[in-house]
Amino acid sequence: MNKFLAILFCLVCFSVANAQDDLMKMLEEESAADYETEKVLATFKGTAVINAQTIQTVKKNTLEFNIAHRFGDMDISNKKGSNLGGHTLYGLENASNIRFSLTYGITDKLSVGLGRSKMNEHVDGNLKVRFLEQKESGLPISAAYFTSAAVSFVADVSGNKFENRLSYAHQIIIASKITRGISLEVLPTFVHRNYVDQTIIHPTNASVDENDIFAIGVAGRFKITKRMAFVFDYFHTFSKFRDSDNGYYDAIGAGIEIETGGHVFHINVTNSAGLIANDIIPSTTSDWGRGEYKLGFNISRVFSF
Amino acid sequence: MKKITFLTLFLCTIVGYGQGIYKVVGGDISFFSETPMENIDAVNDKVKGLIKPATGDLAFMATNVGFHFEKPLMEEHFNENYMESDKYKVSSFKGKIIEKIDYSVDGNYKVTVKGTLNIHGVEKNRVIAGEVIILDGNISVKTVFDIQVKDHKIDIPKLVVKNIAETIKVTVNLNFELKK
Repeated sequence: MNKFLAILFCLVCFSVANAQDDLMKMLEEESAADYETEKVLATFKGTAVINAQTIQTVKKNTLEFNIAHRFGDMDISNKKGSNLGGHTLYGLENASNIRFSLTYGITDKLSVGLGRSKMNEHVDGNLKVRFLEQKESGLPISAAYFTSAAVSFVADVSGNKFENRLSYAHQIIIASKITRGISLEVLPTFVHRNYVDQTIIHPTNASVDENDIFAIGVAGRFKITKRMAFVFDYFHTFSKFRDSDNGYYDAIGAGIEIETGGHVFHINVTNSAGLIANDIIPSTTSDWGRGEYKLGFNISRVFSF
Repeated sequence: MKKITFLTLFLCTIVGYGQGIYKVVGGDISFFSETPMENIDAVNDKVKGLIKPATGDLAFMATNVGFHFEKPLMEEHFNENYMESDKYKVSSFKGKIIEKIDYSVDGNYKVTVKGTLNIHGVEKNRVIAGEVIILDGNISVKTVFDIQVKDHKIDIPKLVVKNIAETIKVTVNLNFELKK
């Protein structure tokens, strides 16, 4: 009799202890569908990888101030005889390009920016709109459209016409956070320059420069620790005029990204001197093979209002 | 034998009585971190919760991405670096109200809840003081309690140690209605 009671008592206790878990289970079942529609966070950090734009926009009412700097060519593997790199402390005493820019988030998915580059004295206005969001389960990609219009303030342009100073870039950014630590993106890019010098002829295939250039980019981010990642990007330009015979090269960049509170800091190495698509796509004339890669950094700081 | 019959009957009563479950229909969970450098607060108003008056059992949970901050960057860091929201999706509490309350009588009741708090995938047994308010057949639960960041293995890097408090104040304010 006593034994029976003891078992019953245990059963009662057991069912009481379980009741909380039952409630929890009910809650979890109820929420399961919610997780699936959750959007994936932080595919990339900041608005730029190295030469590529990231899928990220600046959040609403937030201003991002960015300084990008590219030193001179390192010239480490230059075999022309003298130690060229040593004369400029491996490029550190030169500045290929510097760009200051401000980007403001009008909404969480739409940001506009203004920047000024040393290269071609380009002042660029840009806009990025994110129109697809990757979901935890469901849509496997995010997508954004990026465009920039640049005005070159160099002293002389052909015919001294304002329209000859203008160039435009359009980019579709398709990104996916594959795992917690790996994010990749593809960037079909189109650049139009109003004026190109068509008096220069390609030495082997006799082509001339084009106003419209199509390129495709890939970029990636691989997290090493919670706040540090390896990043790379690569752009291939589809242009008959642009090959190594004529001194043009694909832009390749690799770097380390460090996040510290409100800052994102990049240290990178790239052969591109350009800092905006309007320069990167048509004007990368440095060759990795000849040591013409430059040390660079990007610092971005965000301010919330 | 009589005893067994009595017990069985008693058990049946408990089980029968236990069907009434109340569900969260409003309210929020917020937290606050105070340091001389900056104050951080966030609110989640999409809390899910259930309470079973018959047994005093209660459970509630909130998705970590559902906490909204004043600054978007704080929210990103909260999810990516501190809560690791893609790995630990929810913060939850399950427990039992120790005091017996008559849920059919309107009033404010000071209670103690004993249970398990799960944050950042780390479970912690807690006894938390709170208040149950019965009004027109609806139940509200209110409580304020502290969380030690290190108890839940939330790692704060040295660089921002001055910006984030070691003790976070959590405020829970939930309204329940009978679940249909």
